[in-house]
Amino acid sequence: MSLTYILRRLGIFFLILWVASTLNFVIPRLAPGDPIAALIGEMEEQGATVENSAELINLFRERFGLDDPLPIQYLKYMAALARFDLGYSIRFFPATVSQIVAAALPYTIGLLTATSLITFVLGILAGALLVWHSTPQFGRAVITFFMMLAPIPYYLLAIIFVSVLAFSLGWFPYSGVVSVGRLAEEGFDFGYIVDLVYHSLLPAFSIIIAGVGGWVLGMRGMMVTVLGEDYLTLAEAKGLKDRRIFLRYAMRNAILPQFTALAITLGYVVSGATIVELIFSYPGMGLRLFEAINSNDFPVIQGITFFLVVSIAVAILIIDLIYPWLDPRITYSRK
Amino acid sequence: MTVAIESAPLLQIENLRVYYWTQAGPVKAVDDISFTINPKERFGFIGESGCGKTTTIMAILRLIKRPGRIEGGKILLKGSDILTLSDEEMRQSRWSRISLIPQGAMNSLNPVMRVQDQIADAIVTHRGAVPIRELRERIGDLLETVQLSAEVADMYPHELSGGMKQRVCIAMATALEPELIIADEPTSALDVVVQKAVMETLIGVQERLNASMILIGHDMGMTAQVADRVGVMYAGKLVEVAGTRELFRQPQHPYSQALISSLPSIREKKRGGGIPGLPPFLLNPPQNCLFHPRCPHAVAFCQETPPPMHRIRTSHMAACHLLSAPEQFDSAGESDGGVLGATKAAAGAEAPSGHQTR
Repeated sequence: MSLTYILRRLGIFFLILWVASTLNFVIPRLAPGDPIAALIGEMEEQGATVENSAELINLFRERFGLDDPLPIQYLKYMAALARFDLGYSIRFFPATVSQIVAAALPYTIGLLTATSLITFVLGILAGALLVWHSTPQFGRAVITFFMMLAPIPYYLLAIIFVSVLAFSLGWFPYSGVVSVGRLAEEGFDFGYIVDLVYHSLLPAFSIIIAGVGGWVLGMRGMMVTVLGEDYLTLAEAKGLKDRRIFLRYAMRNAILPQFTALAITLGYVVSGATIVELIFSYPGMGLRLFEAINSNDFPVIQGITFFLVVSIAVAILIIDLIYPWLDPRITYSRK
Repeated sequence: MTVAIESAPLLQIENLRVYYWTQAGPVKAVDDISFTINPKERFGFIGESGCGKTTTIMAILRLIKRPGRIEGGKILLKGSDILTLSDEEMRQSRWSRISLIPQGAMNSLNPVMRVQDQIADAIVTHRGAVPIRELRERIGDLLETVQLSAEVADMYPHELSGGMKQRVCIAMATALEPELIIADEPTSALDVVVQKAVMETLIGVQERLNASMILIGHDMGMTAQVADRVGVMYAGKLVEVAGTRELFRQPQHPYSQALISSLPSIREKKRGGGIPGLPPFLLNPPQNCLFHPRCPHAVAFCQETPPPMHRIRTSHMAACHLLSAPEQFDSAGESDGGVLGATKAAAGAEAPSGHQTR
């Protein structure tokens, strides 16, 4: 991998960040009037009493320097952003956006990174096996059955799980991340982790079962293409063992485009799985985003959006940097 | 019997049939062909595209894919029928006994594996784990035999030229010193200068290993130079087999004649011609002699009776009524005497043994 390649990718990464943060700056300012006063006014119109509203407005004015000329505002905004200072939540004032994100992020990342990776591995394997000649009929039938679940929205599965497995059968907890009364401060011991995983099982299952089908379809399509390649015929003529041809020759090539899709999926992780989190009262980013949208908490919405952009950009940066290792042709064709 | 082993053929194909079962019915891609290949011999296959050459060699490797199926016949490698081997036994035979130099060397190497790993794959699978240092040395030597530097081992296929890839394929095919090397148009994708060099390399390693070779080539000039014997295939049938010299000088089957006369010649000036028409659509082939719709000599008899394989000499056989039942052509009283007359004269004059056998 050449240094130019790395530098080029890093350059694109910072370009994306700059464009995204600038848009984040510009869009609210395109709205007529004072955005903060408008927000407060809207909240008061809806009958909510905003305590310390004058203090809030002043804090925001000061924070964003809204009386400054635009270029100065922009510079101050960028400087604050560099310190991950995204301002204050309107709803949870004086909590900052960063604090809210920091509280929700670990849960979301824990749940969604794990489920995304599990879904990916299952889907890729199943998709490849579906068209591989030596897969037993029974295996194909099982995979086809799970693909039939793919069009069911994950939130529908989640509702079914909550209603059947949690409420009716009582096998699983139906809300929260840990049992009531157990707090993170008590210690991050083994029991806590078990409890955490136990609470995550249902949301995880609903995401995995609904998500596998898409990967299966994508992988199956690529596999079919690869199966027609000459190097597969030669691998077979070489008398290699079936499993080796499957893994090193067929899957290894068919998986390449799937990695890009995986990177984007992982990038989206920080935005949370809103509906699943809502159904299971799982305090992740999705739930926070939902609450923020419900209460017009613009700084939080903007903050989460910004985090989303950053994390997608990071994910794509990472996949771009490891891609030459996955596919040796990449660096070459870019020279 | 022990004396006979020396001259016993390495490969005997007997009545091999390979059909592709399409929804519209069976396509007889290879239909009842028999031939033998002797030790150290280079056997060439010629014929237009779609005549069953590649299907034949894929059947020898037992790599026919659905909807294709080997319907019958025997493939005897040193006397034992590989069609009776279990899948696992067959897998072990591939490459260690029969190796393949594929048609599209351009795409025959795995794009995400280094050359070394791809060659090592074949060695380790069949010979068990080898210390890495020894393996590297082995692969370096192999690459040297095909005039590539040892550095190629660490390269990926996209870093190689077409000729280099083909050489890698040759090195790979000889890694386990097989008894039979099958080369399916090994030079078709290369430019003329490289073609010759690659072919010389291929023959060099084949002779060094004392292996036999089956060579498929669209380039008949190359086949004529390289092969000891040549088989002519048409529409899934083997229509003529003969020593290379004999075939190119005195082709007996009208298809072979047409094929060979379509070759440009340095000596005589002629229009570059082809054979009028196309090979038949094998879902609905012509009756009996498959070549009769395109044959300049065809008479009604050709549609009525399948032409038997006719032995002209011990090593020269052709399947045409012109040779086995010439009286049919006399009685048919064909008017255009030119080509037919000459051919018959040639067949009569140069194949006296044919008349005797009959």
